[in-house]
Amino acid sequence: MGDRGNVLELVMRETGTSQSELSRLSGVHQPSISQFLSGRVDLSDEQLDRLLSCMGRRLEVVRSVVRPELTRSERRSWLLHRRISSRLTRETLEVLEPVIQGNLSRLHRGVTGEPHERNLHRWQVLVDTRDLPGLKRVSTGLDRDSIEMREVSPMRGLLSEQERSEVLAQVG
Amino acid sequence: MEEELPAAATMSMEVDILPIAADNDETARLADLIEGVAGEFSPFEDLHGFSIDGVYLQTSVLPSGWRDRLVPVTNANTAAPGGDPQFTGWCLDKEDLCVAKLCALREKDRNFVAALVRADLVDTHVILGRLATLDPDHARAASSAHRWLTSLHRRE
Repeated sequence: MGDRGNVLELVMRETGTSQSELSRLSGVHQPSISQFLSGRVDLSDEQLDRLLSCMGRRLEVVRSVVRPELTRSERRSWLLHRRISSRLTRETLEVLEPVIQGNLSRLHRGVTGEPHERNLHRWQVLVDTRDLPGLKRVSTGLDRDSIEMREVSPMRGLLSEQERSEVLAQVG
Repeated sequence: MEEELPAAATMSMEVDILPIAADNDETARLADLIEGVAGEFSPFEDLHGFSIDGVYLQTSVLPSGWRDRLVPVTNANTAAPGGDPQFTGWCLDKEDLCVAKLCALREKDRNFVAALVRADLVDTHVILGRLATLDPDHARAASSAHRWLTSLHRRE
């Protein structure tokens, strides 16, 4: 279950609201509520606020700067992609594209299941359209979506072994 | 089992390896060593088409007794380049793997477990039983995992 699903479950428990009752109050189908609670379907802030309102609560989203909790592996991957991002320009992207396209072809053959196949398709679109801001966003992002995009990254072969070693030395 | 995996079982081009060592510091040192040699964007990945991620004990939440259920794998694929010796890789028991995935419960984890359940490759009741053995620090993750798996089981 995602964080929003946990909030929904907490308020339902606090207010003694059943899934069927919340469905009647909100007009959201009960199976959808069940899927939000089980984590099978993602719940947006807007949807959560709507459901909480039916139980006399509002959602307040607080803006704050935090250091994300990354596994060592996720941090390594972020640092490597950040280094690659720093050298990506319109000109270098054009030169590097054959390598990236080759990587994409190999990944298409070896990767299965979702969200990997969907994310691979998204990389393909970013590269095909030479969407430089988009490529930099998924290369440097620390949101879960960007972290999962990098799990099927086509950016290998773009750093020398020395550059890679320098980046890995920063992790420790 | 690798050949039996359904296509919906999520698979990337990365293998997680946990070095078995005397203490956590040594495990971390070896994991970093593995990453340096065969990790993401390494020459090893260029050569073989997949990378090896050196992971630590804290990377996954595992049920009590997982070490006693490790499955040895020794075959031509685990051999040195000359064919000898054949090394032994110790793999997580499949239901223990599902527990670890369900405690993370990301989309890829849910899809992986659902695919294995649908293909009848894992025993749901065993997974539920092992979720109950998790350390109390992981009670919330275990509860979410239990609820998700029960809900999946009812639909199957």
